[in-house]
Amino acid sequence: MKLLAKLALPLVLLVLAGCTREVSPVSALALDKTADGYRLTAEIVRQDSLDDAASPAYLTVSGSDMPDLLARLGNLLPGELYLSHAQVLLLGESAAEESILPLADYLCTENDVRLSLRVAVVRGSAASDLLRNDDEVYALSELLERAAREGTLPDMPLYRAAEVLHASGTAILPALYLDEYGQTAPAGTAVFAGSRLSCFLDGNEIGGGGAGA
Amino acid sequence: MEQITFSTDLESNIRLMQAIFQGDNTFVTRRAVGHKGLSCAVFFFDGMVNNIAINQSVVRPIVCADCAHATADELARTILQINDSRVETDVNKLFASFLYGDTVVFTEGDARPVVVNTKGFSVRTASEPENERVLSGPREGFTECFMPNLALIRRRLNDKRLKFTFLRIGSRTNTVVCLCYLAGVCEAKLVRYLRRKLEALEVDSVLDANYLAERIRDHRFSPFPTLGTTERPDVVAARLVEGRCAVVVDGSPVVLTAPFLFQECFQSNDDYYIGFLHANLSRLLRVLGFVCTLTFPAVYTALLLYHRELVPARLLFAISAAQRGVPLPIGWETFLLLLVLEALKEAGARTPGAMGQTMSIVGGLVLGQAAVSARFAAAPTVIVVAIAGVTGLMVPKLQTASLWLRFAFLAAAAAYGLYGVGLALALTLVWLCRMHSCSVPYLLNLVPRVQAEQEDAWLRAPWFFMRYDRFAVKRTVKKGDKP
Amino acid sequence: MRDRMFPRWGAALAALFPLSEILYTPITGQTMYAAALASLLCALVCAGAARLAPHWQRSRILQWVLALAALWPLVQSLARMGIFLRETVFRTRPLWTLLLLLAACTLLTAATGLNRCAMWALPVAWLAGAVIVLSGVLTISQLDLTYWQAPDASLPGQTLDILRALLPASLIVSLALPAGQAAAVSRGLAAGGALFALISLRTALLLGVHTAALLPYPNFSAAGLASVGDFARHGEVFFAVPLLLSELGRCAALACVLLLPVTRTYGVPRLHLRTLPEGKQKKPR
Repeated sequence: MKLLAKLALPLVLLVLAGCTREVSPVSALALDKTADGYRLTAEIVRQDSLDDAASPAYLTVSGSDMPDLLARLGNLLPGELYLSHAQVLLLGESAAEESILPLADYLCTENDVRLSLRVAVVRGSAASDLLRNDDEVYALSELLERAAREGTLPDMPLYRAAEVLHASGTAILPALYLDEYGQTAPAGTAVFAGSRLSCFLDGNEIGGGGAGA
Repeated sequence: MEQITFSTDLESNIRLMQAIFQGDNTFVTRRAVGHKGLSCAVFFFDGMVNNIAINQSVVRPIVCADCAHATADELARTILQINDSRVETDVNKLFASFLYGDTVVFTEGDARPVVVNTKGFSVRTASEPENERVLSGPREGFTECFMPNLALIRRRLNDKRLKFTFLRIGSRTNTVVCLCYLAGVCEAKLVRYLRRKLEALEVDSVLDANYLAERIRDHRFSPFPTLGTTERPDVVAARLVEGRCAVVVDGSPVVLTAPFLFQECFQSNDDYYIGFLHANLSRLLRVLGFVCTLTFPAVYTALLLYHRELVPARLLFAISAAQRGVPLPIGWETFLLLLVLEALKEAGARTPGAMGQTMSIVGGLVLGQAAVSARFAAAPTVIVVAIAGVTGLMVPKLQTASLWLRFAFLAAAAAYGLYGVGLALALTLVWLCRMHSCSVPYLLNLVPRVQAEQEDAWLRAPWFFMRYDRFAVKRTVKKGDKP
Repeated sequence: MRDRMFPRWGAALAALFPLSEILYTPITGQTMYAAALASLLCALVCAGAARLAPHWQRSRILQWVLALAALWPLVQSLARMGIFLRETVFRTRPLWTLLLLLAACTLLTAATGLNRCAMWALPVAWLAGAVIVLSGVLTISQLDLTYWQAPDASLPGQTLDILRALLPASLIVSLALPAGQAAAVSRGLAAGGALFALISLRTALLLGVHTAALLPYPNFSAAGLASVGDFARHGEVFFAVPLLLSELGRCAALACVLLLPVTRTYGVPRLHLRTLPEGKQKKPR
């Protein structure tokens, strides 16, 4: 018993040895369709010291599907790929024209990805271009959240999108575009039928300022 | 002690006493002979007695006595002019009194000594205890002197049921210990229990109340206190009124009270002397402070090791940036900083006066800043440990528990994240559910609730709502109680 | 007071049983009704069982039967807790280490006896209840009432599923309780069942049945959508900890039943004032 007591302290102290791996937090993702599969661009947050502001860095990988893309992305990063703080997934038009139901299902079941992730479709340009356009971390998610609160864009986080896609295959997701000044702006809604992008509705039709494309 | 027998011959008694105390230069023998021939010997210890009392009430009456011969009884009753004198036949009691400042008088022709109460050693005045200060309310505190301590209690409880029962403990120190209780309010079983526990002690020395506390308390290895300690007579009086027992130890300003319940750890003297609104807020803050000091470092470690998704994004980035370059894993870093905090506290407590304060400031500010600059530790970890340290001071009675459990919770967090912290908290609760103090459940009033005693458990009811005494351990469950 | 199990403790212990089902129950549009119905049925059966308990406990053989019956739900509970922990947080840890930890905690809790477990259950049940209510309140603005479904033909099937998980353990513990706990047991099971039903409704209205069907632990995942501003986003772990503690209470109670024929006590030490044996009396000096 005494020996056990003597051994207990070092054993307890051993558990403190669990070390923190440096993480590479992802704040947003952009998915585009390419000729031979998909291209995923991730906005990684970097902050070197307490006094600095968090700044984005971008990494791009190509692959056949989302699990493959995430695995490749993980291999590229110096730290652990960390998706829990990802708040936006941008879909390029071409990617959205495929069925997004498997993607939604995968993201829902992936432990690291949050159900509150906002999905938006990028109109008129590649999703990665729009993602790279903003220098500020979480600017996109704040834009989508504000627009959803004000009713200018649909409030459609991942869990709700998955539900409506499963229920009827029809969903409306927010659409974004790069305006003539090169700024990210709401572009109405992307309408999905049969889990595929069917058309865009102009922003004015749901009360917001749209792209007019 | 070897058998000592006095004789009727005064000279042989003097020789015997001098032989016993040979080598002790404070031992004084005074031969006093009356003008009619009464021959006595007066023994006392220099510095322990009141010289005026000896001169005026012992020596002078003997010298002026109108008789040539007197027995010990006559000496005690008619000659000595003092309020407390007795003929003592028990040698053990005789020496116990003599060594404690009483004067012993032998008379020619009688083997029985007379013990005269002439205690007169210098004592500290009753000042406010340093570690139990109050904003308002009484400011008297116990001293190291036994009888004045009992007087302080009696002055507050003018009740004929107040009993002081003396015991002597310690084969070397022969320390006087007093068991105080209010007969009829305190359960007789409790008094018997404590008395038997005290009587059963076989110790050499009792130099402070803690010598007894560690021996008689329940759950001796638990960091949670199961005996109350206080240096304030008002607290002792309140606890006696509530049906508890108190143990006063000679030479110690600390008085023990039993039983002691978990709820008392969060009670402060000020709670009863300031308005109930303020008092209750303070009490809730103390509970919160205790939870904080236990869990803050553990939760911080768990969040950074296992549950980073819970940390707001920008805060996580800042913490990650601060952690960059720190050589130790987060669990070890927190553990070592907690150790440094304890070391600083210890150094501050052991360093005299103003130097101690300087030490704390230098340790806290300068070392902390330097450690962060040198990348020994991350700034958020220093902040977390500092908060744990500050909140730990809010509940002084649980400092031992906070100290040990903080490390245990940290280990649980490092191993199993927030689930580990939850399990550790649950097991601590299991432990507390299991504990008792003098057979009273330790969590009484907090989990096993009794209606009458709710008025001073989590919160203190205003005085005008209190229907009962604040707490009575003797009270059993009645029909009206809602357990 | 000292040797008895208070009805409030008994109720709290009983409430832990429905609460510990919350994490694992799959959510459909019928779960709310099924949870309420199953808990109600369970409360009725267990109240009867608690009334029978003193007679049951007179027979040593029946006590042993009860103890052996407790083994299966105990193992089942430990296993599902371990799997839950591995799948949600400790993905690289071997399952046996988690099971060992949980078994050790169960034994430490059970070692205090059934009375103390019930005493311990009171704050745990309150904590779990508070967290469930808080989680529900924080997500109330995100609920979508169009997801609500009326009872349909699948209700009896799902009720049976929940009963299969809930009834054996609660029945076994009810039969092992001291006398006078029948009302408390039914109250506790009903209160726990009400919380179970409410949180199932919350999840169904928040996630929708299709999304909920995708998730291995839908109530747990739904709790991750509750937040206070930017704080505790994804705070499902805060939700899971009290529920796991509830399940730990269930395991401890079952372990107590398992140990009852051996210990022949509810684990409460005799709390009368213990007197010292004569030999320990202080000798006169």
